Amino acid sequence: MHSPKNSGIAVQVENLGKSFLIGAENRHPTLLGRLNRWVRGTSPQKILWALQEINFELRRGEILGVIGANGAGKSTLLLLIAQILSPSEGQVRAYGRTSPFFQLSAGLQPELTVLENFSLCAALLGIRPAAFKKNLDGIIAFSGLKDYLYAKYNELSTGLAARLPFSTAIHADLDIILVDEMLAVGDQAFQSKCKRSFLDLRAQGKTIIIVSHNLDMIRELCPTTLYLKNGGASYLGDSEEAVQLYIRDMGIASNKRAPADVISEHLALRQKVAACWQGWFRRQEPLAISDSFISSLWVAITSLTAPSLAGRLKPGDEIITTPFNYPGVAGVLKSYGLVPVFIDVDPRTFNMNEERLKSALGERTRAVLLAHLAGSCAPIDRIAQLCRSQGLWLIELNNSVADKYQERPLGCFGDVSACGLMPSLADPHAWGLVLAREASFGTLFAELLKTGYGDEIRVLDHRHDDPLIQTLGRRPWPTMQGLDECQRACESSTNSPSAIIRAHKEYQGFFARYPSEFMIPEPPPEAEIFTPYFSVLVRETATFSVPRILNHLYLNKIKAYRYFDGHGWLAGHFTQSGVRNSDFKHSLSLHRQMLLFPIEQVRDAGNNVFNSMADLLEKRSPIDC
Amino acid sequence: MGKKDYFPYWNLFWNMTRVEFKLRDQGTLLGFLWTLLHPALIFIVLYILFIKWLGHFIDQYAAYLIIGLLFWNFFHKATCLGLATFKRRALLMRNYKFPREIMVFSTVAAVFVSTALEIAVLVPLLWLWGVKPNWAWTLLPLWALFLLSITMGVSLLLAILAAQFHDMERIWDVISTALFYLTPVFYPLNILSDRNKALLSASPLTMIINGIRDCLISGLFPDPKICWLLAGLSALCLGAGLFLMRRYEHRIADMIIS
Repeated sequence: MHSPKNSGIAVQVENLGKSFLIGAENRHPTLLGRLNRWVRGTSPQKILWALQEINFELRRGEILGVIGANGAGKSTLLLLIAQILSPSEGQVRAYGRTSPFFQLSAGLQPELTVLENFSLCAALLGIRPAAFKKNLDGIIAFSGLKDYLYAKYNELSTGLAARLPFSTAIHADLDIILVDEMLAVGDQAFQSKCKRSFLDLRAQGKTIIIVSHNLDMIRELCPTTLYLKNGGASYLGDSEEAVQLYIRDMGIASNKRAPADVISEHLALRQKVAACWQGWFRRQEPLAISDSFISSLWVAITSLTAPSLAGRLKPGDEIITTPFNYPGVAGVLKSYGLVPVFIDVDPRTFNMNEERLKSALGERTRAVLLAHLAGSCAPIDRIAQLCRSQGLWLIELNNSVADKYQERPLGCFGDVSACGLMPSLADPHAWGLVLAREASFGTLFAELLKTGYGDEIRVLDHRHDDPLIQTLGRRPWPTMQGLDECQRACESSTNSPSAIIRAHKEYQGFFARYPSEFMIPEPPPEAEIFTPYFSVLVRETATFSVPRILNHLYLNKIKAYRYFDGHGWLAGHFTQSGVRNSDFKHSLSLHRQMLLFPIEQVRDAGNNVFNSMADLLEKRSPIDC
Repeated sequence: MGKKDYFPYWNLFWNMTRVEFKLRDQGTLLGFLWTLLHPALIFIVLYILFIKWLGHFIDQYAAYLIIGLLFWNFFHKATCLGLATFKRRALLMRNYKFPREIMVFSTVAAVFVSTALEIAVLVPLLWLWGVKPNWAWTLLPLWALFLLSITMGVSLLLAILAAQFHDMERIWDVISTALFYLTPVFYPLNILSDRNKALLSASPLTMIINGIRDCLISGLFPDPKICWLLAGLSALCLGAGLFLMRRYEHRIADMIIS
């Protein structure tokens, strides 16, 4: 059929309606049943209108989107335009060759090879053999199935299989292209290729109608959208408006937003949270938010090795730290060729001690890594002073942003600091903070956090379909939930945490009653500890072993944890690196004999914790075996 | 739809025939042997049962029987498969727009190809049973054409009916069983009374199967009158099928797709 002269109209739909006969008997009509009805003169059928009173006109080179709930008549509309179904009322005219892109793979043969299916698909689309031969290379190239030509069609994955008919159809020289959720199966790369080719086809004057539940795609590709509701045209016009109406009707929150919205929202929240923390630290120096404790450490160490940094850390440089540390720390250092030098902890503070640090200083020492973990604290001011006098970088690492020293939050003392907190052990929405004293670190952080990926849309879109990008997206950008957690942590740190101090005091008071069994850390008097864990060391000479105590607590439903049993340092992985004093007695006992009690347990479980411990220690326990 | 538009679908017809043929296990030698097994077994059973009785009436009963069985089998298989085509291919109909009868035609054609292969196996057997090649064999393609076009016409009509009525498959099952006995597949017409003989002779299937036998076994050339009659019938069958197909195309689509 040819378009009316010079009108440029491709599709004309006038008062279009389609009804189906439904009814129990009609589901599977039989000849005998029909005879029976003739005799009795009854008709059990009902009329269902799948589509009614649809009107629109499309010109060549226009793209129309069609959206609506399941059963709204979207597919029926395409089938009518393709003239596979005929209208029950009104008219539909399509001027040009058309074929619907439904599940085009439906007609293909799983048992035959991909190449044979290309040929079959072309035949089904009415491509002449000569034209098919001419276009075959292009079709295969578009599909990306060159390596699979002689594989059986059913050996392809769903996504790959869908490419075959789609690529063929794109090359079928159709004038009107009807797409029904076709793009849902392809991967991101193929989808964008398809989108591009739609735009190319439109530029060639082809007319395209896209039915989709992917509202982002509708907004992106279609200037005009038809919103179908219960078989009627609820709205025809601007796509954004149509999508909003649909979303409103469906009662679904608009959580699928355009990537640009997600980015700007993410950036705004990041700035807000950063400002909150800068307020907490009472300083304006660079502060970056990353997605976990270890990624914040990674940003901190990487920035210290940046080529543009004066006095940067180089491979072979030594960093002094304690073995009572996170398992990943030494790994990060080693990955830059830095040499961790371990010194034992002070048995009183459970942390670094100035004298031991002095004795460990060597020719290649360039930095000190001070870790404040499990409620321990070192005499920071003296160590910082030593670092300054020796020209060493001081790196602070802590897992409790609320802890203070000399009334300043931890993290304010190092040249670079990494802080982090996981809301819970299994929560993927963790976050971390990286701080620096020098303003020049700001650009370093920004560059590092951008990652090699560059593309912020991809990095920030955590709902991305591609699992590879999802992974990259989580590292090191925090998720929106991670940012929310970070914000909440800032707010709770700012509020006076007197309950935590009280809980620490209660734990201290209890365990101090058994000096022969336990040791508790004695932080310097300048320190205020707000760590959400209370740590206690079970003496080697104690009545009960650590597993025994844990077992007892477990049976009494009291939470307690051991420290990092699986530390690489304990397994001897790092013992060869820069060890100058192999006496790690205290660090070892911390790893083996330390217990951590969650602070909130005292608040929630009242005296159960202490009663239960007392039961065991005073041998009153009924399950004492 | 004009001739020019119709042309590209020749390609589709060949493609679908190839696919149908390959898929019914007949792309391989073993698959082909399996399809041979059914007529071979029926042949053995009928031959053993009836050679003593019917052998009196026909000289080369083995050849007579096997030709009847092969061509009857073709008709039966092709119509049964053809009848179910639209239901079997509902997804194809929903997703592509092309003349629907091509699906029926290619189904029949695929069965025809396997029958042709069976005939190729049959020829040496006939030789063994003492049938000599003769000039009448050159007319075999004409018979094949009659059989093919009538079968296509019947299958198309059945497929159109089956799209509308769910019980068509069963009905055709009953009718075709009756047809088997009403066609001289394993018995010769001359054992019947004259009245019955005249009745059965009026069936185009009888005409074709007996015509093929005359041609292959006896080397007889067909009666031109019968040829014209069959040509007319084939054209009528196909014409009716195509006419009804055009007429009910959308109704069928409604039934199959909705």
